[in-house]
Amino acid sequence: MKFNGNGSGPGGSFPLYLHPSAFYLSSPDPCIMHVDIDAFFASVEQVRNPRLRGRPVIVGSGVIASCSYEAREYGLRAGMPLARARRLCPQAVILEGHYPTYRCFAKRVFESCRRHAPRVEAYLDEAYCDLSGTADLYGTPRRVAERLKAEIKERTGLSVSVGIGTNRMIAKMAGAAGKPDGLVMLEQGREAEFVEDLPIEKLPGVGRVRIEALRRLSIATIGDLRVLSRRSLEAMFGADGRALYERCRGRDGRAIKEREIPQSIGRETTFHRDTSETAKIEGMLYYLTERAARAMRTIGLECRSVAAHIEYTDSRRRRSSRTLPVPTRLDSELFKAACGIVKRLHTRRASLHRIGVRLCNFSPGRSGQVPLFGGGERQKRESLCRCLDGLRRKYGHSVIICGKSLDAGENLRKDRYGFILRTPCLTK
Amino acid sequence: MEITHVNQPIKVRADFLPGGGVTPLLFKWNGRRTFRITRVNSSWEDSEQQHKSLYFSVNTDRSDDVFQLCFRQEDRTWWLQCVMMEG
Repeated sequence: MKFNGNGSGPGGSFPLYLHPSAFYLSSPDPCIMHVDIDAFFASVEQVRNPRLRGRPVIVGSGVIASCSYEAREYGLRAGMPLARARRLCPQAVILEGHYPTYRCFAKRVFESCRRHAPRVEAYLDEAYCDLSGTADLYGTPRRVAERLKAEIKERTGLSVSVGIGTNRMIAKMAGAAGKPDGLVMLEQGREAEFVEDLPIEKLPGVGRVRIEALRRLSIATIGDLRVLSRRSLEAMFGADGRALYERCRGRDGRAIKEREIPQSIGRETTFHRDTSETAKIEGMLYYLTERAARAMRTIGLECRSVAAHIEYTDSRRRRSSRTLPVPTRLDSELFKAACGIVKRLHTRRASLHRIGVRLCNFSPGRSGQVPLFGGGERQKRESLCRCLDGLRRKYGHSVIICGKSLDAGENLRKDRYGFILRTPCLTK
Repeated sequence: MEITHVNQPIKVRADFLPGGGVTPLLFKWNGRRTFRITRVNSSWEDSEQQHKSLYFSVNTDRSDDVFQLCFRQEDRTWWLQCVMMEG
């Protein structure tokens, strides 16, 4: 291949010769690898305690957060109430779980992913790795996946399922087809054929409500969805309709991004005993808000939106959110917003079973910027938050518990990380 | 399965390897009882706090129970966190 370039040699311009392979550098074939930790929480428990291996293990409190593959043979699934799980599988070992430990294991898994791929988008128990154009550096995608699986097994004892495809949706679906401990690679050009016969609920972006709408149109498989035009899907599902039009043909243009800023940071728990006592509800809400706000401040963010949700004893749920006039990172301001939401939601004279708070709409924190009015008080509160964060970073969250939260924690065990909550959730 | 939370400081004899690795060998708990570690089932580290903590899930020669040990790098102390027993 010949180019006329401007050489800087003594003779003036000279022709440049480029090898054809040089052009692949600018537009390599897309290759995405999806890594999913099999039955994550339950697997960590089996690694920590070898006597649990080969036995049905459930992690969760109230409902199943994760269950081992042995438990799944009895029909157990994540989200199932524990009472039903006990009936289906009386011999199952039920553990409340220890979420800080799971986070440590996940971190180690994602460290391995980052050693084998230049760009990794990690979530709680799964990661997307962009292997596009890395074959010369790391080897073929299949070899990378085999090495990665072996490394994760050796470093953590956990098994992962890996899917490889030309986009993130196909990679994830391929990985799901090989669970557990599988490695499935789909060749380029076979995407549409691969998804065609899968049930419609397997398509990302199709939830319970959409399934019902599509079933009314006799659409049962992903292939069936192709009869609907782009315009029809847009009319039915708005902007998501466009994405579904592409996805049912095996196409997905979403790029892999290293997420510096999470979408949301949430903390929630079920009460040890269902309660309608204001002091306990507000105490727990304050504790959860403090935990979420501290996680947010640790990564240098502040938030503009606060959401809260409650679940009554009879499983009826309510949620709402509020946008703040200015972004904040102060516990007191976030709690005030969350408390206002919960008071608005808790209208029935029934006890609460679960409560949670979620911070979102993040922006980088304004370091030291003081508002024109009321700055003094705010600055004092900022200093207080900084001091508390420093102490907790050094001695653990439970070194200082706010008086407001003492009522809420009277029945809860405490460790270095704070109260041991039931069914907590993590940063998403 | 029963998990007893202990959270007590203990004395541990361990190998500190040049690369930063740590392998616990035996520990003393409950007065002068010595538990010889026969197997490290799993280990992980928590670097979320200001100082790193290393965790070990181990079996001993005394029983089939699984012990979880923690080495806190901030003050170089060992803690017995919990014992997992067949309930």
